[in-house]
Formats: sequence, structure tokens, C-alpha cells
Amino acid sequence: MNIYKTINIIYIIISLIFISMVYFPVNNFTLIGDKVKILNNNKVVQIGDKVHYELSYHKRFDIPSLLTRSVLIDNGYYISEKTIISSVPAGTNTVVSTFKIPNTDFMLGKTKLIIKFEYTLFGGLRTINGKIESEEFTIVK
Amino acid sequence: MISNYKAMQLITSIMGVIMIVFLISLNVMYFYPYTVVRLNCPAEVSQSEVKPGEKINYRLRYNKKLNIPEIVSQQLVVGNELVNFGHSEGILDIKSNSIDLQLLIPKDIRTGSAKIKIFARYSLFWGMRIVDVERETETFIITSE
Repeated sequence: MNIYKTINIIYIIISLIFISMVYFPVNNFTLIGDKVKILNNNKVVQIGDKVHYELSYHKRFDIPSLLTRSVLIDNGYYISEKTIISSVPAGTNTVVSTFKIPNTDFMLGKTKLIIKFEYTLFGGLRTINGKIESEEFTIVK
Repeated sequence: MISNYKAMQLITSIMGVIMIVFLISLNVMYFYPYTVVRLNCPAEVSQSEVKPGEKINYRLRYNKKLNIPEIVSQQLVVGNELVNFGHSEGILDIKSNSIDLQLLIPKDIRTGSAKIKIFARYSLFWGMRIVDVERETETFIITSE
């Protein structure tokens, strides 16, 4: 075979592999149900207390994600935890976790928990971002 | 004297070789299994039973090959309950081979068999390659107060 043809074919194959890795639609984490369930009584949480939540999900690859949890209050205030590395087991599961509401008066009112995650595939070549939200709950004094 | 056609052919083949070398180096960068650190599994815990509100100590043994700072997060797993603990940066010293860590067990945690997951993330080639390492501690029991 002609050397130029061989080079072209290798180049096209490697390029196609890279393009498919970057653009092929992959979904690693799917929430089962519409929203994350809030487990606190009457969906009411006191400031300084923890909001307990439950999420059912389907996860394809057992890889950790960068996770940022935040709370968006109706009055416009927004508080976010520092980004952490976290992982839930792969497969279809239900997990329970908590988020501590800061002890400040700005945090009163109706709110929801927002969980943002970022999965890294192929050693950083591809990132998958996602966002899930909880049911509404109320923060009281 | 070489003809225009031959010159073009030469340039094209040089460009092709450069592109292939570039793509192969990208492959090596993204897919070579770099071992930044070996975490010896599982990390030893100081006590087999702990009460909510108490601290648990554990020793993480490791063998770090490259002097790159890491982001470390810890996650307490009790059944299907997860508690995440904020991240620390650059805690594993390349000159040492073990670190003693401590975790405060939350007061409102359920009781039962538990373990701590440790995640370390390294960023190589100015952030282009991400290497994640995940290890667990031995299992311990959270007993009621």
C-alpha cells in the first residue's frame, strides 16, 4: 500500500476515535424520579440544622465526581458548599445524605437544594456535567 | 531540482507524520496509566467500634511517585447513608509513606457497619489529564450512644 494512503488512514482513524470520545453522547448519572426527595418532617428545616435528602439514581460507570451542593433561597440568597470529590455506587441504588443549613437569618424561607456534578471520562478528555434539584422545603428559625 | 508536485507531496507527508506524532502523544497523555500514588488498601482504623460524636483515627499508607499536590476528600458510608467531608489539598508528602487522619463521626448518623472512602485527584499536564485514586478504610462499627 502507498505510504501516503497508510498515513492518511491512520490519521483519520485516530481523529475519529478522538472526535467520538469528545462528542459521543454519554450519560453517566440519571436521577430516577423528577426530584430529590426531602425527608425532614413536613419539609421544614430549622436554621443550623441538617436537611436530609434521598435520591434514587442509575449510574453507569463507577467513577468519582466533583460535587457541589448549594441552596437557593426564594429571597435571592444563595449558599454553596466547597466542591468535593464524591462517589455513589454504580448501578441502580438509593442513597441518603445530609446538607447543613448555615445558622444565619438570611437563610429563611422557601428553598431547594441544587446538586451539581461533573464526571471526568478518558482521563480528562471528556467531562459530563449535570444538575439535579430537590423538592421545595422551608427553612424556619 | 524537485518539481512542485514532489515538493507538495513531501510537505503533505511531513505534515501527516507531525499530526500522527501529535495524536499519539495525545493518546499517551490521556490513556497512559500514570501511577502518581499507590494507596495501600484498606487504611487501618484505630478502633473497631466508635460512637456518634466521637472521632475515629485511621492510618493511610501510600507510596507517592510524583510530587504533585492532590485534592483529597473523605466520605463516610453507613449502609446507604453518605456523609461527605470537605476537601483538603496537598496532604500527602512524597518523603513520607503514611499519614494519620481523623474523622468526626456526626451525632445524627445511623448505627451499623461503616467505612470511610478516601478520594484523591491529581491533575497532570496543566490540568489536561486527571488521575483519580479511590481507597477505603477497614470496616468499623458505629454503635449507639
